[in-house]
Amino acid sequence: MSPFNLKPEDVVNEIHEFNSKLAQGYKTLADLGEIEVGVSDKEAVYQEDNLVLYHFKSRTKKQNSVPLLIVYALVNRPYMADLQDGRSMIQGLLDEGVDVYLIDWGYPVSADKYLTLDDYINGYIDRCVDVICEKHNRKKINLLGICQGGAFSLCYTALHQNKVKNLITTVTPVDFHTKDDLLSHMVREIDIDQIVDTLGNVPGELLNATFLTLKPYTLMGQKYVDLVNILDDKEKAMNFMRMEKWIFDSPDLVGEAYREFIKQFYQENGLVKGTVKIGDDIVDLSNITIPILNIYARDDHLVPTDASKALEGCVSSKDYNSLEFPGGHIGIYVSGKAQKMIPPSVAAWLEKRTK
Amino acid sequence: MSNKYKTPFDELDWSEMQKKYTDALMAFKSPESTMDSVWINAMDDWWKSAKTDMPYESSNIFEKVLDQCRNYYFMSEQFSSLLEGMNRSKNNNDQMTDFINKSFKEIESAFTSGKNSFNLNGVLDNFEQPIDLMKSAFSNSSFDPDEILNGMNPDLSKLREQMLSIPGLGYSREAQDKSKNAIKLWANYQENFQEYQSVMLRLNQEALDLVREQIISMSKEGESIDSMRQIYDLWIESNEKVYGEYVYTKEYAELNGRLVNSMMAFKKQSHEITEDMLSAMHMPTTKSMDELERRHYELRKQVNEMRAEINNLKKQLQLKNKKAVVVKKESKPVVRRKKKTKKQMTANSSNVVELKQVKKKAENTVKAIKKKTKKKTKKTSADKGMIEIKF
Repeated sequence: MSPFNLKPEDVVNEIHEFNSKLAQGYKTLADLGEIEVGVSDKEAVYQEDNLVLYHFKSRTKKQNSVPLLIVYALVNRPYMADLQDGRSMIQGLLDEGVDVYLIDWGYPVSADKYLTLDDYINGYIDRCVDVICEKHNRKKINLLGICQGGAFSLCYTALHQNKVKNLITTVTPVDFHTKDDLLSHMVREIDIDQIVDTLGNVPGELLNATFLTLKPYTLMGQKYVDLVNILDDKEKAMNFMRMEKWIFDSPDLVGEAYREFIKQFYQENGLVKGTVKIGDDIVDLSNITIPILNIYARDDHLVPTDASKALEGCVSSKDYNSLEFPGGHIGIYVSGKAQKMIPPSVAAWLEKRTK
Repeated sequence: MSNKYKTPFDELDWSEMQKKYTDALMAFKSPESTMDSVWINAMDDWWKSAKTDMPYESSNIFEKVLDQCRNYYFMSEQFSSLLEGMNRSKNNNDQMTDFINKSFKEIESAFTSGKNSFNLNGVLDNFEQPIDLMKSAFSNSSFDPDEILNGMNPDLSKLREQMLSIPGLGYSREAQDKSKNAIKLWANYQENFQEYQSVMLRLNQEALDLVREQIISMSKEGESIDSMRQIYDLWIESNEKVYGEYVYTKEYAELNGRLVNSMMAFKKQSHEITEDMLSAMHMPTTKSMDELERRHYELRKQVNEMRAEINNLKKQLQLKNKKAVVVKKESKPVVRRKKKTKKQMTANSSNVVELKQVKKKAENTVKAIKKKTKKKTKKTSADKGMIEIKF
């Protein structure tokens, strides 16, 4: 029996219907105007080179007394954590009474190409922590790392544990050699020295291309055909455009830091092996004894769950907790499900460890 | 739609016009005009007129949507003939399987032969395969190898190697060697690129086979396909599955490594050639900029270190002052009695504890000197008749 419950005229009608939606989509997109991102009120409290440290305005009367610093990745832009009203992890944390700071790394220029991981971790992050400690007259603050920012937060905590009260890692790779880590598999045979020596800073487009080639047919094809079906709804179209803007808003990666990160973390799997060297210090995760909350995404195609879960076996924290989010690498910050799950869990976990 | 973007085409019902156009062509039953070319051509003509009035960000997205629509139309056309034939062959499963296999051969050849200007590479291009993205990512500097080496036949690699191995002569021999090396590196990259493309082509054929197998399986199990979109999704999923399995192999990691490394090696060599040319013209080069930026980086690092040191010293000083104030309060009466000494020792308002120790040490020293001097004085005064000095 033929599986096709279709006649040729059905095909023609389907295509015409699709075309009508496409024509309507043209009007919707032409009317959208500027794509605005970032919803929560914030003020810059510290600036250095391209870096800006933001302090978000409180949305509650009662706040957790220990401020939380969010360390974002060097890849893409941090507004993903504060994308839009109702789809913002930061907004959710503020609503839960968390006092939030965020490091925005900015867009590196050619003159930044010699910055190393030492400059980022023992330099920029440490100075931001000092600024917050001084402002709040505290010796320790809470730290939340996002993806690569999570790996940075782990390194920072291992080296400056006296300044970190509690650590939260989200979709953070720790073991870079798990079987299903495609990103790691793709860079295994690449001569990183040659790339950095040739290009200096590594173009953001290259990173983007690498991420998109993890699922090329879905991310570069099907996604846009799906878009046609929602283009008659201005709000949905705007949501799509916000995400699209974020995906392709890719700053270049500082050459030396890229070289160190890909070689030491991805190629040598140094975080697990305890061989990562930041400046003159070796990062030994077993030095970490403070409370840790490790949040990972079940369907993460960039950082597989096993890559994140490996953290438990590397640290010495007795107070170690993990949380699995039923979604993907980006959905954990922007999906409706995430808004209900992540900020309340983080706030409650912190509250318990702040008293 | 706002007035800002109002165009004469706003009033045009494009899809209705297109429907009429399609109906008219179908009425002619022209053997040369296929459904997808009609849809694609109509869409392309409309887009040429409409895109100028769209904001850049939206226009950029819409281009991507239209690229995918082309694939969708192309698939629809290819599968329309399959549908027509299957509807005719009715209920016999064996006949159905034979027909599906035969039709898929035609579909496969349509994908690979360039029919309707859509061969498999065309489809791949529309998906912006990794190599295309990497090419665009790396194309921001130096000369374009496509322009100078276009048409080089990689099959002639032996001859090419021989030609390029002839040593350079005369004053510009170094430059000649660099250029020849660049050509070698480019040829190496081209070979890797072609290997990569052929692997991607193979994967796409495998994906098409997978679609065929799934359709046959659905036919046997009595499952139905109700729309072209379902076939498109099946095609996407099959491609993703085949691609996903391959990219985890060691073979892929090595191929990807060879491709990127050969591209970078060529790029690096071409940079050097450009640098030499700029240098000969006394123009600023990347090398000199790199050196400036490196020195600038070192200075920034030093400034940060010094700033940290100053802050540290400030903190230490503040801490000392605090301690001094505390001790001062605690030891007030003692300090009052020895006012003169305190003034001398705390010129920079420093630590009183330290002061006490110094004082004690000084007193002990004085006592020791007194003792020593007494003995010495006794001796000398008696011998030399000098006046005894009492402390």
